[in-house]
Amino acid sequence: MKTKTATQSITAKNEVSFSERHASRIRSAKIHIKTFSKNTSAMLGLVIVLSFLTIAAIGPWIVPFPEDAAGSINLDIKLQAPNAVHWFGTDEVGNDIFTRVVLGTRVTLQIALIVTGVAMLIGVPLGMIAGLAGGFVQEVIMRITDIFLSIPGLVLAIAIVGALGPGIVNAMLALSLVWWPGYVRLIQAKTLSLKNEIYVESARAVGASQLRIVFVHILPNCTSPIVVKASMDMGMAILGAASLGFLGLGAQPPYPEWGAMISIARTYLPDWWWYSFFPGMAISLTVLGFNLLGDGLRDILDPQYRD
Amino acid sequence: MGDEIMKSLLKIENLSVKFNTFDGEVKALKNINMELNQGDSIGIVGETGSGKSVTAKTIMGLLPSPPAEVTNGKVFFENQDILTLSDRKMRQLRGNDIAIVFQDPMTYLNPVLKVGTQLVDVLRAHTDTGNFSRGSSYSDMKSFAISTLKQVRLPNAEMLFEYYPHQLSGGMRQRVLIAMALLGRPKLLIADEPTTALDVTVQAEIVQLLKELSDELNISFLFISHDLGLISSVCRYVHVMFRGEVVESGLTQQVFNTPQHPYTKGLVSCRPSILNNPERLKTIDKNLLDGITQEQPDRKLSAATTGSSSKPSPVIPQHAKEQASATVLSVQNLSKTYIVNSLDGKTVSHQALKGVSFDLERGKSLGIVGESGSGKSTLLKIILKLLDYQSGKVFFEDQDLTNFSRKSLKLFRKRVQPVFQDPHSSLNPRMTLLRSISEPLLLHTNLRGYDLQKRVIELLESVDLSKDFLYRYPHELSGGQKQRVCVARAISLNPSMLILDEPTSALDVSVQAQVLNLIKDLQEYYKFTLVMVTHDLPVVSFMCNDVIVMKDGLIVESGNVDTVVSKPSQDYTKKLIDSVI
Repeated sequence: MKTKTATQSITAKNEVSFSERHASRIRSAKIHIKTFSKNTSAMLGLVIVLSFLTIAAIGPWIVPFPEDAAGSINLDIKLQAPNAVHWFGTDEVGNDIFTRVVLGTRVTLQIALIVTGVAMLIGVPLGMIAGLAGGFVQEVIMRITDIFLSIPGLVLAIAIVGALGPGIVNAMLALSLVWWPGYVRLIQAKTLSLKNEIYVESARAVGASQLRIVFVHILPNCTSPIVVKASMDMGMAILGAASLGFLGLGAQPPYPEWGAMISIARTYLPDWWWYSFFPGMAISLTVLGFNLLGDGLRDILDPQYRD
Repeated sequence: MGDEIMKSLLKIENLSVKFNTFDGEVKALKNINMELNQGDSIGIVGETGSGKSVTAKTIMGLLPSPPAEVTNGKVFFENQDILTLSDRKMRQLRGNDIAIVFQDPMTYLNPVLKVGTQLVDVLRAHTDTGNFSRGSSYSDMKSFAISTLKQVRLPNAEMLFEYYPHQLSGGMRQRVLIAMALLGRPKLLIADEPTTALDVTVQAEIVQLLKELSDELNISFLFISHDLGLISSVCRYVHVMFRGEVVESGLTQQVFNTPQHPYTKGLVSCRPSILNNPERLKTIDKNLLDGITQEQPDRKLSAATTGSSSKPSPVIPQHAKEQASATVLSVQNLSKTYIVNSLDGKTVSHQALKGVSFDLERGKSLGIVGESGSGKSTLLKIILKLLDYQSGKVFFEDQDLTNFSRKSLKLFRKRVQPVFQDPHSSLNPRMTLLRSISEPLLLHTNLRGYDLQKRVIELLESVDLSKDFLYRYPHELSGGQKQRVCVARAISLNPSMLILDEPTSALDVSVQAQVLNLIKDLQEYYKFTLVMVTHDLPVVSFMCNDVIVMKDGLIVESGNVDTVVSKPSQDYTKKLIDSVI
């Protein structure tokens, strides 16, 4: 009798469709989408970010002068104002600025992704260890974090690149090294509050190992703040990479990187304004896009706004 | 307006309020009618979601809108429709003529301002209409505030005026809030669950105070509570609310002695009493409750009644069953001191347990009763081995808790299972119920995949939840459902001891009855030993064989429940029993 009912319920269970199984996820996704789409600025941010992602993906196939990326020299058409052939004009050696801005998207997004990713990989585990271990370990990790936070990030990055030598890889490395402390702070605070949650305590009371508690109970509940911070940081990392490029410490010309382009274009202001205007606009727009997106994500992911 | 007719103070006519949510409209109030005469007091009784707090907020003009919207009806205060008043007018009314005392005194006082500053601020805000004109001096206001503090029977009112909220106990804070509400000498005082967050003995004092004040100052009360006993001791007239409707109203004694509506009937009988409890608590008709809470029906577990079993079979053989000793848990002279580093560099020690000893026999149930600060939660955490202790010994099945090997600790974790107080935070919000319930099984058994799911379904069914709940997340469940999931998880390994920390204090009374019945049935079936910590004496008297009364880290009284409750030997126990209304 007993086994029969159990078998029946199991067979019934296996017929449960995907949509029934994930009904609650679908519902909460719907709520999120609705809240998000009501938020005009967040949608604007999403559109900007998505278009830059698309441009980065298909860039090399749509640009009119692919050979200009590597820096060809056509001095006869140098410093032309925007026109039908060269939409954004040309630079001092006759390269098409439109081509270089479009191709720069890929470089910039790459830098942003790697910098935030590495910062997360360093910061999240450290923050979690600090929060869970407490005591001496926490003191050591948090004080080192404090030291890093007390030095302006860009200044420290400049020092690191200065020591390692200029170049795009070194710039990414330097930015990653100054970017992680924020994540340590965030995750340590979150872990401290989560580890006193009753469900964590009851997991411990049924004998869950520390590793299980970290990966099953604490980390999944940290994802929202991580996602929000990461999307905000993307914008800041882009700005940081551009600054290093501008100072001549990041990507080296003729590599099509926005900061490096502005660095040279600066000397041609104000008469040949388009040279620095378009890369500058590209930087502003991407940073704005990621920040708006981050704000919107915070609105839907922050538990305070949850139903 | 002759004096011979009682003046109508508050009149609610056909009030309907709806909330616009993602899932469509939710009707919070449906055609509410109430009337309150000057000098009279009425009570509103209802459970979570009944609309009682929405009523209070509508009267105060504090409804958040959107999402709330008054769709119909009028609220008259002294013959003036206050729903149509401007914000400015409403602000003058609030605090002067209508005042409110909220549930949680911990959060309604600003922690960075002195009590006195907060009281004087109220007087300042109402200088246009209140007792003080714009030019009144601070010292006048101060002495008025102090006299109001004295009115709520606070000792050393002059000193308290200079205190910060954290220096006051919960009961004192609630008194300060009442004093704050009295500052404008209101005609109507709305008390929204004013004693729920307080210890039982303090509760009784606050209720007494409110009664005296209503006589002294001729204030009308609108008393909102989920506690029938409380209402019956304060109000002459009562409205019972259920799902946004007033289902029954009348004289309090009449409503409680001869309830008419099935919901009221259930509500009156589902609370455990301190003496002479039935085998099982009555519960409210399931069809009635299904509408809002979607609670499952309360049924006597089929194993006991019909013989056909949908009960989970004990997957793990009941090992230690024949173990020699009848004593499962033995606590000997246990002491625990917390050491806190205070700001000035000194260490402050707080002795939470001062030599506690007791034994618990297999299959028995023990209730640990005490108010906040009595050390009962500390004791519970030590028994669960979540906390270290300084001196004394704790034995579980003749094994010392401090000398566990890795292996025996694992066995201990398997044999002793907790259910915590707050069901809302004892389930991981990111895990489906399937994953939550299967966690102990994953850790301690070899069940995987198909078998694991089968077992989880069995467990869900044994706590009266269907298998539809497998893929739900905690936030989709009501409090009672969540607590039943916690119980299912706790019994999944067929433990020999179940430890309950205030398992029903966060639940409505009707749901409490269901959960308590369920735990009792399960104990009958699985024969586990039960330790239950609570502040609620009637619950202990219903659930347990033995009781320990704790105060300030000491056991004040212990023994058989019936004996202790009927013939308490200590003053503190008597006080506890007396404060159960």
